[in-house]
Parts: sequence; C-alpha cells; structure tokens
Amino acid sequence: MPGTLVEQETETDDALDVPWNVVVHNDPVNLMSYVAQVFQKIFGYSRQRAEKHMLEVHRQGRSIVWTGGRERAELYIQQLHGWLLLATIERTA
Amino acid sequence: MRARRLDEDTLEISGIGFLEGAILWRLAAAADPHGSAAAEERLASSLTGGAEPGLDEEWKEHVLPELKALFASAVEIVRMDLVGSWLGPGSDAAVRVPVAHVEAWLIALNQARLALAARHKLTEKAMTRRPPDNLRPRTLARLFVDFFGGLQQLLLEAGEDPAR
Repeated sequence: MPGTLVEQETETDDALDVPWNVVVHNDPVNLMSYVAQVFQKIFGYSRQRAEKHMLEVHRQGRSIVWTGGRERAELYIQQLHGWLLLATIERTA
Repeated sequence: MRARRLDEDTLEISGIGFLEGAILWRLAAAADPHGSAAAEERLASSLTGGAEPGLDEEWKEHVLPELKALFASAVEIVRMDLVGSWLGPGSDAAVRVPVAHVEAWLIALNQARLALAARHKLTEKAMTRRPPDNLRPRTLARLFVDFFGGLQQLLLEAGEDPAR
C-alpha cells in the first residue's frame, strides 16, 4: 500500500538522521523580551522556559533550543530567521 | 508615545510627536540593507554558519529568497498601515495597527534595527554606551535603533494575551 511505503521510508530516514541541535546565538540588538516571545511562538514553550533559553543566549552567547531530525531543525531555523534571530543548526556531538 | 488595544482587532500607537513620526516614516529606508554588505549579510543568515558549506549553499538558493520576500512584505505592511491609518497632526499623531499586522510590525522594526546596527557597526559595547551628544551618523543610527526597539516593546506589551 502506498501509505505503508511512505511510513517505511520515513522510518528509515529518521534512523539514518543524526540528531541536530537548533542553536540560537547572542545578538546585541534583539530585545530580550522579543527573543523570549519568539521562542514561545515557534516552539510553544512556556514563558518560563522561553525566558530560561533567552537568558542562556544573553549570558552564555548561545542556547540549544531544540534537538531532533534535520528536516524539522531546518524548519525551525527558517522560522527563527524569519523573526531575524541569529540561529544555526549543528550536528550533535 | 504609547500603544493600547482599541478592540479585539486593533491596536493604536498614539502620542507620536513630530520627531518620532519623522523617524517612523523612515522605517522602510532604515530596514533596507542595500549598499552595506554587513547589513545584507545580517539579514541573510546561513543555516550552519559555514560549518556545512553544502547545506549553506542550498539554504542560500532555496530558503533565503523566501525570507527576503517575507521581510519585504513586513515592511510593506507597515508602510501601508502608516499611509492608510495615520491620524492627527504631525505634532501629536496616532496610527491604528490591525492586530493581524503586529507580527509584521515587529519583524519590520527588527529588520530596521538590525540593518542599521550592522551598517553603522553598532557593537555590544556601542549599544550599551550612552550616545555622545552630537550628530554623527553612528549616533543617529543608535537613536533610530533605540526608538524602533522602544516601539517593539510597546507592541509586545500591548499585543500580549490579557488572559495569560
């Protein structure tokens, strides 16, 4: 069945896909409140969790905000760039 | 200057003075990165920051055009709101912003702040230093960056879900 085939392909892709980190980097211009709200909008994080990541970016220069498959990681980066945050993906160590 | 919800669908930014209005009407020009490689680069970030050149190249080809279109659209929405709903005299004006446009305003304001900061090399140190009292372009850029940031903050606060 076509449905079954698609599911198998997805499973195989996932199995081969090394997890990737979505990393947000510090930027002296973006407002802290803006960054926290973007995390809430994109990842659905609670205000507390979003602020924790925002403060990590501010104090440590970067924060890993999500880890998972590459395709979804790229989608998140596209959204983060759409809000003009500095963000990249990296392979997990 | 203040921002408040008029109703479920509309925000109003009011108390816009003559100078604030003059800056606001220059938002589209401020957000335009052309002529500055640093500003263009800041508005076109790569996927992996150079760690995976192949992926960055694909990103540049397939995703950046979409993001550029999004940024252009956000600036155009702000421009249309300014043209279509600017109220009052130049010395105490207001503008009505549909709630559905708030995201576009936030993105356009951020675009302007980032492009200006990159164009005028406003580092973290420069952003935290009190601007000197003169009219150098860099000082004026810092003024614009702070002004657009203040407006973003007002919109974020006014746009928050009151039930949260």
